[in-house]
Amino acid sequence: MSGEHETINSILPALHLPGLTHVQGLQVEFTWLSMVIIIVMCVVFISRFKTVPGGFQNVIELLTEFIEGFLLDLCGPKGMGYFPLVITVFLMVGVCNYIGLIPGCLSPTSTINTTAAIAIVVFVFYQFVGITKNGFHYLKHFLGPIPVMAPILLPIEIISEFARPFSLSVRLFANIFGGELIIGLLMGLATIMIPIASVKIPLFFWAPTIMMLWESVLTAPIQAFVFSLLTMIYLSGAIMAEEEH
Amino acid sequence: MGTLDPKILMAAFAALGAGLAIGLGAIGSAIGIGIANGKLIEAIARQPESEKKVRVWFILGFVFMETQTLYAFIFAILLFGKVSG
Repeated sequence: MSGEHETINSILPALHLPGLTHVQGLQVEFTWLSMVIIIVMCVVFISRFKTVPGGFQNVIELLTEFIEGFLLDLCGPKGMGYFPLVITVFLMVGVCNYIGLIPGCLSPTSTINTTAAIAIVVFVFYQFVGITKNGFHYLKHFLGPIPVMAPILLPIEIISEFARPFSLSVRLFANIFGGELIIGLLMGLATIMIPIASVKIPLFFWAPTIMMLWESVLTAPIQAFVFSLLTMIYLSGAIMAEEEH
Repeated sequence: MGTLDPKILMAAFAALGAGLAIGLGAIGSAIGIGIANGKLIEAIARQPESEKKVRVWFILGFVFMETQTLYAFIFAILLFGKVSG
């Protein structure tokens, strides 16, 4: 266990979260692995940049233009300043989700630590952007359209504002962790042999196991896309706060 | 009523609660996703060239509905940890 695990494992039992008493596994190391993969991919892409794109460059350009289209649509032409964050979130979450499908590897996003870290970074960033760009207007949007209803609306608005990083992290964590859990359970069931007439027949749970593996392959890019799309939506809400009311 | 009764009782209720959590949590989102998917197919059938635009908002809505079930799923996992503890 590395140093990070010892720190977290000494704190977690004190929080009294039932069922979450210690961190096992190599999630931090696999986060480093996904970082290395993305950096190597980008370095290779830049060093072999051709004006007429080949195969690998086509795929990267497809992904970046896909995200760029949404960013320009939601945040306007000035939104391209936030493109590095959004594409980093997209690629990081995508690679982290996919790594778990390789035999012997563990998804970094199958623990709430990684997903909450990314969600908190996004949350702090878009609050910072909203406050520095729009200042008082951004903070005034918490009071609602009519000043009379401000004491009622303010707690609701604050709670729903904090619900955003919570839902971002829990959505990604539950999707990836739940997929892995169900695959593990189904494979555990597939190894049970039923003795029928003194002949042992394995329960045929391989088919649902393969179905859930296929579902994990589809869930990974969808969750990455939704995380980055919500990041863009929250950013556009922070930038354009003065046009809302 | 032996000496271990409170622990066994809590474990039993935790198991019951975990089952109820995931069971009831899946009902609402399944219905909602079914309705949304039906509307998506209707919209595409009515105007096939709007497919690319409608698809994005369907995925966003689907994820919001799925999140509610996943909150219940997380509670089920937390309760399931209490069953054996």
